[in-house]
Amino acid sequence: MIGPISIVLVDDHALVRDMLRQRLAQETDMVVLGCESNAQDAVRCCVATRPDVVLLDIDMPGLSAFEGARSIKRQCPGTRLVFLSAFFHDRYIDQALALEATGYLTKNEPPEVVVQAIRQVMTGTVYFSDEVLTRIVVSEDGARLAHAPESRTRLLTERELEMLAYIARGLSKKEIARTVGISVKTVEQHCAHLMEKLAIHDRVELARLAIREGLVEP
Amino acid sequence: MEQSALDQIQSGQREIGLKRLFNEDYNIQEQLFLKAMNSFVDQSRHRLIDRLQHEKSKELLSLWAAFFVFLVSLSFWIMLIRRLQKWGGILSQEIREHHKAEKTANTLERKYQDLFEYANDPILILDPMTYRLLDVNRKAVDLLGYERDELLGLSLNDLILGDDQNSVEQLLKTLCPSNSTVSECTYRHKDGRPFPVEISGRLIDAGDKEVYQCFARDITERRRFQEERLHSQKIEAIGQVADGIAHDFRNALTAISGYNALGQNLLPKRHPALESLKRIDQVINQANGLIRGMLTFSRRQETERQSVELRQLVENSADLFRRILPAAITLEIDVASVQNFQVSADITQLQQVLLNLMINARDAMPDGGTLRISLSPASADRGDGSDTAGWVRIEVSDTGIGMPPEVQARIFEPFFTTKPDEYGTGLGLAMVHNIVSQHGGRVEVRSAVGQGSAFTVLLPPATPDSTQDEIISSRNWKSGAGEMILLAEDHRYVREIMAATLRHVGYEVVQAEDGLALLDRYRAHRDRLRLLIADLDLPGCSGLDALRQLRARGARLPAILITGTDSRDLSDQLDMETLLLRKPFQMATLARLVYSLLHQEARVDDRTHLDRPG
Repeated sequence: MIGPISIVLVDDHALVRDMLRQRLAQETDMVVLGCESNAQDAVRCCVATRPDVVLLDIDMPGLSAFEGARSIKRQCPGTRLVFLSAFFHDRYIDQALALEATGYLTKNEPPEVVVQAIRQVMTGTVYFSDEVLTRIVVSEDGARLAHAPESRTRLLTERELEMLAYIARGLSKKEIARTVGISVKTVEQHCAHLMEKLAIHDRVELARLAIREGLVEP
Repeated sequence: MEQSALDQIQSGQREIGLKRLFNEDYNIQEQLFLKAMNSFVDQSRHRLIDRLQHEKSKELLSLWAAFFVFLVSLSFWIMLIRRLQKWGGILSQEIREHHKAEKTANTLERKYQDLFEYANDPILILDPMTYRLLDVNRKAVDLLGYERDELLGLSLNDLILGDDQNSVEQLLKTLCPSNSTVSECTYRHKDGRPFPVEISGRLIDAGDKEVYQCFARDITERRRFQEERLHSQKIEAIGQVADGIAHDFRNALTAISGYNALGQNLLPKRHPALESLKRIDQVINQANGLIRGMLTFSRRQETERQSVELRQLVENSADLFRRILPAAITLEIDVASVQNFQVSADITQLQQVLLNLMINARDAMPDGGTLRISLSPASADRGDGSDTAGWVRIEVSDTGIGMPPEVQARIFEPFFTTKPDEYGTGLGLAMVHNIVSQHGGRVEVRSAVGQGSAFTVLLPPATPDSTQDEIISSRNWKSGAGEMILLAEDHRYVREIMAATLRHVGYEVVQAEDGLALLDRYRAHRDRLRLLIADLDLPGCSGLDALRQLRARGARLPAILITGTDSRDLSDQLDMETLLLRKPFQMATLARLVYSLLHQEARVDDRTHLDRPG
């Protein structure tokens, strides 16, 4: 017998998290295994509960949602990633596609769409809105967003982008190392590389760039 | 006696001496005479010899002296000649150099004159006492609009707006040969038009007197760029704030909307509270609209560019425009002079631009009037150095109250409004400016108090690529009617995205992960299948081989083969029902292609992605 769709909800906004939990609880074929407010806890919860779907808000304090998603994907390959963002941000969509996320929803959508998306991804397919689907380009490397903004941040690796986002959030190298779970020396190396690639050696300028590029919320 | 005669002879009185001697005694006289003569001769000889010697010495000396003098003279003359030659050489060299210097001076003078005359900056030569113009170059004539003769009668104060006269005078007073000062002021054109000028100058020696040499550079464009930069910085700052607010605002709205939906679900169908809860939904929608407006200022706004035909856009929006206008306002639309002009734009944003301009025009005519929307080709040379050749001009004009210059200068600033608090947020025109800028265009305003205002939006044409995108995205999207498509792709994620797209636009999709699965699924659904989409490099059995097998079994359904790495020309291996689609391709391209094949439209000619058998 196939059990209900198990779900982990991750959103730093308690109101949204609780509302979604209540809404999903109304569906008889769905069960919410956990509600977390940051990506770090989400990884722990997913590893412990192995949900079918994890609904991840993108902009949360602490570990980046994409880094958390990468970790969940690695440790729980059966869990489908559905991102939930306040807006359609090209940068976010591009990162979600790079992670082979099965869905990307905005909070503008009514809760019914969230329910529908969860059901759809459980059928083995993906759920993206019209606006996103029309702009997806299939290339030899997989799927990416068409007309994604070209900027200097294209020069950065995934890890360096993540470091840039943490720097923009005001985290120190020690805090970044603690958050991501790597050594301070590694963080320093990543930071040196990204600063060299971007030709920016000022934390404030890096933060400005990260905000402009949509890597973090202002 | 003898002695006295001899003395006489010796003393030069020879005749007397001799006479006295001969007359007296010849013999004696003769002897004496002979003796005397001998003595005399001896003495004379000695004297003569001495004299001769003396004379000879004297002559020699004279000769030597003459020779010496001659030599000295000769040396002198030689020296003189040489000196003269040298002086002559120097003189001729000096003359040559003088000629050369004169020529150089003339050349320099001409160069200076040319520099002065043809300098790209206007140059004014001023009398330091009266500030009267002593000379001006061509650029100054062009800049100020006067004839040269007219300008030479004017003072600098005649050219500068009143407020700046004192500051410029103060600036000029500080000028000296070693001090060049730069300042900005506003000049007045002959036609009365003010324009900003950067004035710099120094006191120079003009030969007979000192004069001010002033450079007056027109900085209208620079000011415009500075203002635009400042505006962009303001917009960026507002965008960041708006982004943050919109983010939190949307989260709050999400929760409200969700709880509202939960409440509605819990209530029985005819519960009186349902109406109120539905009203909350409406308010949430309005609030989401407000968020979208705020995001106009954010770089991360949700835009979807496509090629928009402007005339059609204006005509289609006419009904909406009429609805927001009171009866007292007459709407005139003139789009006849622009045929099929495509711009690459987000259609919603472009409508927003027109709507904001319309609302402003409406509010500027409280007692009614005429609101006119016109489309026309933009002129190439607009007199400000910008190239707008091939652009289109959208003008929204009204016959309303107009705006004074100080209001015109600030209307595109965010949060600047002249409307009462309850009517204006001050974001409408800032939004217009931002949207137009993001579309690579420009917005300008002309207004006169009591006569009305005219806003001109200048937009560049769509590029061929964006026109292609438009064809892709607007046509045939969501046009499926449940036709079944077999999709074979080994990259799971890509396959899922393609399948989701095809389902989304209205098709039913059967998926296969390799060539063998393709053949298997075909067998299972052959009666319902209308189209095959297969990757060329499927594992197990390539897409082309699988298709050949299906064709051999009599399958005539149209097919799309997808390839990324194979650059071979496969057109001779494809039949008339098969297209080759090369990666990368957009999902919208796939949807359009599927539609075309299923509806047997004229064969698609997409040079960038498709190969067809020749």
